[in-house]
Amino acid sequence: MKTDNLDRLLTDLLHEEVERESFCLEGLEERIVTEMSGRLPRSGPFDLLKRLLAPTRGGRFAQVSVIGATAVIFLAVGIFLGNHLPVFAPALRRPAPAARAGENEILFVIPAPEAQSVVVVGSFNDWDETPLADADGDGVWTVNITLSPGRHEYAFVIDGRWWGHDPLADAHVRSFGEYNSVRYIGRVGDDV
Amino acid sequence: MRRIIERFFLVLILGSVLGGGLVHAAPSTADVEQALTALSLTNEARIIAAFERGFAQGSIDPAQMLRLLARLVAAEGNKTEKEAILLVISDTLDDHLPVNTLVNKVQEGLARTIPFNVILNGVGGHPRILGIVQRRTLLVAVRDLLYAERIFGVPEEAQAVSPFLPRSRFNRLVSEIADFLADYVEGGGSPLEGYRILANLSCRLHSLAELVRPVIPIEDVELVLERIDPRELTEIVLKALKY
Repeated sequence: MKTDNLDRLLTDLLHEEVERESFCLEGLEERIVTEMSGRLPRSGPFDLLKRLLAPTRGGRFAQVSVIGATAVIFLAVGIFLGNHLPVFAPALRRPAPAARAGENEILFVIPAPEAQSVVVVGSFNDWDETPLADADGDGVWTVNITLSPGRHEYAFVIDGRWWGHDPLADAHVRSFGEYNSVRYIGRVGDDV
Repeated sequence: MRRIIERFFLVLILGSVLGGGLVHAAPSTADVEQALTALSLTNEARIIAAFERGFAQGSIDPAQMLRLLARLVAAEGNKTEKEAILLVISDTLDDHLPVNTLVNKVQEGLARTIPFNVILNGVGGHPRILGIVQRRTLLVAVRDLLYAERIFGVPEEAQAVSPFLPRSRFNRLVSEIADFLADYVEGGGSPLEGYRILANLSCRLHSLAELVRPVIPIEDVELVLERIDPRELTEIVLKALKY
């Protein structure tokens, strides 16, 4: 336990003795030891880690080293789990939709009042499903997706049925006998 | 209270580091090879060798290929046809041609639950569907057309002392022209209308060149459009359709 904390605990106990007006030297040491044993925190699984991370008189270097080493171990464990446990793979290995420099957040919107589910699939997500939401229940489904500049083909899937005639698309092309919508991202005038 | 907050932040930081490790566990080429081995392919060594070359040249991405393989494994269908799809991609890699449009088409076809033989060989008639076999033929034909017009791709490091295009830009041209021609045919366009093909190709390439960050530099578009003629486009479309 940290020396400052011990000092504070001793001071608190002495104050309590004084406040209770029962202060006397006889048996004081025994009473304080008994009180302290009751108040000292019980050892837990993180005690060793907490002690290692506690500020020391030796300065911050040792503390920073311990934090750094712990972080490296956790990172290594994370990479190991990500590579070897298939349960993590499907969710974590999808193309990340996080915005990067030069990418545009594009609004996909489609009215489908009777629909139970609407998703968008396209070249930007390897034709995996990205769900749209109708939060206010007005039948207009929307989602924002971050796309890199270029030409992207896509279609909506409304209750399992593919629909490639997005009126907001820049073009439409035939694919496997059906239609896909096309958007050019990053044209002059768009916010890139 | 302060102790609780400190503990909370400690857990938060370590959790973030762990999560970061999980997210950045990038799939490796070994993961792809493992997935290919799991498919019990007849031509496993040939396919793995082609994929390794693709990874080394940066023409395919292990994460993208893993997603494709996962979908292939999950899809119901003939094992031989699944392997045939991988062989078309491998042969294209062996020819140093871009495979991104082929991989994208396979992914789309699998998502649409299109039968493997259609993804592979397409369907004649109307509407015509091009399979990845015909799309690969188009890639080869477009590359040969550009070669015939003295438009070449050279390795990036050699480009400084060469009058030709860097390979990445050359491959992008090949990929976009072949993809456009496939779309033109699937859209019901006639191979015999060379001038119409050229006009539509010009629109498509200019759309890509006029982006704020161009997918194709405008000088590459102009180079192609001034050297190829409608008759050549008709010939390569007919070649892909085996007329």
